[in-house]
Amino acid sequence: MREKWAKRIAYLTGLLVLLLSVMFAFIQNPPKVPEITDVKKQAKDIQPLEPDAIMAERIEHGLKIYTQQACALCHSIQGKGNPRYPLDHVGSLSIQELSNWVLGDDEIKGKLPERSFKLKQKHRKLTDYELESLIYYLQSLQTN
Amino acid sequence: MSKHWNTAFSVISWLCAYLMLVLAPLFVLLIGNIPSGSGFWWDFSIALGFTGMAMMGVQFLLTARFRRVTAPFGIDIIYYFHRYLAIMAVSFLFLHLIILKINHPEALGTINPLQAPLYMTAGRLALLFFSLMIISSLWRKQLHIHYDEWRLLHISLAVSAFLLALGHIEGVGYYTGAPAKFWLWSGYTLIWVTLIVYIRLLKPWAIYKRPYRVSEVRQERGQSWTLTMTPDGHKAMKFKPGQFAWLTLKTSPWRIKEHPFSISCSAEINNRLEFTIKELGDFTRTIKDTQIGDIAFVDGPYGIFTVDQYTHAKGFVFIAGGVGSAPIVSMLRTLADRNDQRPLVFICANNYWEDVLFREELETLKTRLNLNLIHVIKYPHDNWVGEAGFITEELLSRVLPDSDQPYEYFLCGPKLMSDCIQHALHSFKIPLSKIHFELFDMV
Repeated sequence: MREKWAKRIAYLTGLLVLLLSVMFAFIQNPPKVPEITDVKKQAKDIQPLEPDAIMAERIEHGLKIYTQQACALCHSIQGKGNPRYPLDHVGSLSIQELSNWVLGDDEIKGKLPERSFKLKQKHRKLTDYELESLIYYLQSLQTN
Repeated sequence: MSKHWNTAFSVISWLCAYLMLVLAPLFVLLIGNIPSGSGFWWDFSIALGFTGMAMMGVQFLLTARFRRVTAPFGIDIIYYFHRYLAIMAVSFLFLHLIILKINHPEALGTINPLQAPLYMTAGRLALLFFSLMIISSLWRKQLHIHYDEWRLLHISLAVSAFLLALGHIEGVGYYTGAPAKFWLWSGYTLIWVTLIVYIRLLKPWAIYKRPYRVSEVRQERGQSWTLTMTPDGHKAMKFKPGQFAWLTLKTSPWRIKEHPFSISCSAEINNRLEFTIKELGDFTRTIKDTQIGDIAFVDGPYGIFTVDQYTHAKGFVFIAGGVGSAPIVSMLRTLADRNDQRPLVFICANNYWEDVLFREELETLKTRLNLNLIHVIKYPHDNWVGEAGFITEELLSRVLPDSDQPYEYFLCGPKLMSDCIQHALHSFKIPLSKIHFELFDMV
């Protein structure tokens, strides 16, 4: 009997923790009302890329670098990967800005957690060709 | 009635304290600048990871032998909590992984430890170690793991898993970057490290400074032995009748080779301790080889399985099987030394008449107490005229006082026997708060 009651109370406590975790997730993700004007503005500003065959090959190579560097551990693209820092809109950044972010340049220090900043500096081991390919790939990302 | 309300209040208070400790990481995440969500399932998974980790951390508190924590409930309840909350916590940690695997598999990266970031490997290993802890604890006997080895394994896995999990949390870093969150997890780590240092270093040191020496090894009925030990250079530990202590024999208290045994002597004696131990397992089978003068260390006393917890009771009912008589006899001896004449019932169950522990002394105690002693023998000899077989509901209905009498009930024996008797008492409308249970075989 005592064990049965202890089990019930333990499982009820666990269920309460579970429900409060659900509540936390809801608080973190309140329902969003789409802002139509912002979407229109973004669509007007971004110029879609029209890559030729060589560029397509570089972009594909860039995707491979993205995968090899396990960028999805921290970033997501089209919902795939870590949704904490989505990259879907980075196509609007310049090559220099993208390079600063990928390599953890001092320009971006303070704009992200210190640990993430140091992690990015590991990408400095990429060759110039690999870095370029990665940036071309990131530039190809844009809102539809 | 007020005692019931006090108990209910204690239960609720401790549960609230537990929930606050476990949910603190989520509260801290919500203070200050609340970062935008990353999707319901992502944040739910992260919340499960944090709460599961916090629950595993609090497990240390539950089994740190803090008398204040165990006092309202009894040690058996605390150990049940420890077991079932651990199962829930590890389930949450698995859910944390499964949700990410289903919704964001790319965020997990490769499982290959040579390619994956260290903090991801640390997280996976932590989950594996926590799972091994659960498996080895729930199925220790089926896996033929010796109790002493199991304890060492349990502690090693717990410490390793917790450290790895902390490394994983720090490595991921998204929720711990801000100062408040950093200090929270640092606080948790500090509490945890302090607990480990206290339990494994400081407390054994205090116990080491108060050694005992074995002064008698007495054979009892039923393959049992009573060890008498006297304090070496200090006063003997004070205890309440029915309590237990952790005994370390012939080795250092740092070696994690302690075993819990009920103290069987009268609490009115203050110059020695006696433990009555049945030969049941790997360690207890060596008790008979104990020599006079062997060193012993005692950590205790613990437990609320004692008549002293219920001083206003009008009487007591004791039901014990086999060596479960040990704590009961401590209570009877103490009540006799106090000349306490409250009505007592002791239903003592054993397989054979020859194995009845303290058989002769119980007859003597009958003359000193207002005691109704009922032996129940499972395999009686031919001339037996007493109760035979098991302790049944019918027997209990004949010998127990009316359920509206303010008696307290103490059960100590094999789990199956205790479960059946608890059900029977429940059917007699005896409140659960009046039934007290000592657990000998937790793992």
